[in-house]
Amino acid sequence: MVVLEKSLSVKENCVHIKLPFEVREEGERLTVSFCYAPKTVDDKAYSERLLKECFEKYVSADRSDVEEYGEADIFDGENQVREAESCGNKLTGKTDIFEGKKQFERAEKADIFDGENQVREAEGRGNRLTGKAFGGEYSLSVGAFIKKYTPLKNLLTFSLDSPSGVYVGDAHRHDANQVVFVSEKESSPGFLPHKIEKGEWTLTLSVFFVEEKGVKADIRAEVF
Amino acid sequence: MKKYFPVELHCHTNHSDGSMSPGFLVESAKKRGYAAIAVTDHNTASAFESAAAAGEKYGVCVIKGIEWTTFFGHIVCLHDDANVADWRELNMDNIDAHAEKARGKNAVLTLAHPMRVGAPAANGCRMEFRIKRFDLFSAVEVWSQNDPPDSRANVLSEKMYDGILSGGFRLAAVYGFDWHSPGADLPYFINTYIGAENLNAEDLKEGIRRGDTYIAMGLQVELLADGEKLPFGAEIGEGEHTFELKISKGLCQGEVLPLEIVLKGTAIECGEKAREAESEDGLKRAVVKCGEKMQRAESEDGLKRTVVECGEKAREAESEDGGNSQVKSVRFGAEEKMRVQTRKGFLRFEVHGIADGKRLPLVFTSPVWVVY
Repeated sequence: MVVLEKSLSVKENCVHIKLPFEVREEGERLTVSFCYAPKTVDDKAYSERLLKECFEKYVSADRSDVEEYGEADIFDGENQVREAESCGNKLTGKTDIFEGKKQFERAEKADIFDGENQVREAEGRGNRLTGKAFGGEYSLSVGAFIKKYTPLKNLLTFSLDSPSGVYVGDAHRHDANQVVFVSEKESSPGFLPHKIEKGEWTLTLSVFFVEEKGVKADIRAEVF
Repeated sequence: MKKYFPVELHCHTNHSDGSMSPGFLVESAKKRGYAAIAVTDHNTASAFESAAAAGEKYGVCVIKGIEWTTFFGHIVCLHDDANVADWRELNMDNIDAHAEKARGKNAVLTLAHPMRVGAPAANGCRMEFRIKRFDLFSAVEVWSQNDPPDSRANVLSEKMYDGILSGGFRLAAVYGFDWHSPGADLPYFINTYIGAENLNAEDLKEGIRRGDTYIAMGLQVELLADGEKLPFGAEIGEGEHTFELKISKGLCQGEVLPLEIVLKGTAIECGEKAREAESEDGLKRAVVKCGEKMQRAESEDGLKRTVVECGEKAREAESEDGGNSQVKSVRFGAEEKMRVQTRKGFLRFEVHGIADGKRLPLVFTSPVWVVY
């Protein structure tokens, strides 16, 4: 028996939308199919604008006092010059220069230091201790940051509450097409086994990110 | 007998967006040498049962938890009852009320990767909750994910953490790998170490609440104060203390020498410069307070000269950010006994090593607390 069938246009970010549905008779298994589209944000200019704002808000704003934390960028030892993979934008363009401790903000792929002409190993080359790459958004220039997070993806998740008020579980994944089931004996990963009780269940749709033009979500629930 | 156990407190499985099944996660944890892990999926604790079963099989202690993954920040909650709070009801301003409820039921709350970028690059990942009651939280992920120890995100988290400690809030420093997928096999990993009598979930959670934790990459440490072992998070009286940090390089395969220990905190009595006391018995003597020990500097050859002798050289306690903050730092060589004048506040330790051409923090401990 179909207990929920909803097609909704979701445009508002950071909200929880409650979708109650009635199970008229106790059942064996509840199956929920949860889809939304588009997943990927097509509009490149829009993506770039949002990511630039994101970078300004969360990354570059926090670099204003980097001079005091210069130790992290100071190259120890003698004049060791390591070739960075690609050294673009050393002194012009995206690189910021801090006078006090003569440190240069990281260029796209390399850290460059004044005076001793030391070039530290590029972020892309890997971590210093093991040769394997470490991540870190703060090491990126705005261009690399935008490139890393493009394309942007819309993200919706959902959770279930039973009529008796039990929080059955949540599907916090990036898949835009999911099918989950709940039954007394076992349930899909993310959900506890639970009796398919008669009464009002709630599916809560959580909107982590939707683009300006919105997404269409198709949610269907059936009880067998 | 208390031991420090290497644990990973922030892991995901395929019950949320991890790529490992609970069993595979536990097996991977065993391979990496963790004594315990906390399974902390986004907004669900449904993986615990199968993870715990795998824990029995592989010999890994599994702690039940959940990561409240909200629009305003992520909080890792370790608790047997995953529903101590409804994550969907959390917002920037009611966080304290919910944390109070959870804390009242003995949950251990950790601020996860507080300085990660936010939306839309990583939705909800930046800590934007307007928390006032930091006393309701037990820990902060000072280092996080794959960022190198000295990366900006971690440095900012450390700064936030020092701010919290300066306010008198006793939170433990932990590392959060945010383990989603198997990942590369590195020679060694960043571990959180928790001091506990026994290897079980309750004792480990209690260790976090007591603040007996430290973060380390490849090294292990033990703290002694005035010759006696001292757990992190413990209280000591004001005055002069001699600290020793015993460092073992058991897990470290790289070359990290020479090591240096940095003490940081509001509890360090700032020995700025030589102070001139009143002249005693006609001679010009200056009593020098070096932050470590009092020394009498005698005037040389009748001239009004102050010779400062502290054994090596006078150590100046530097203020962290040019004088405004109360958080000071002092450096010592790894083998040194650190004599420090303390006053009310917090005191934490870092071990820095030279690796691959630069100095890198390898150990970050929770503080000890200096009280009257």
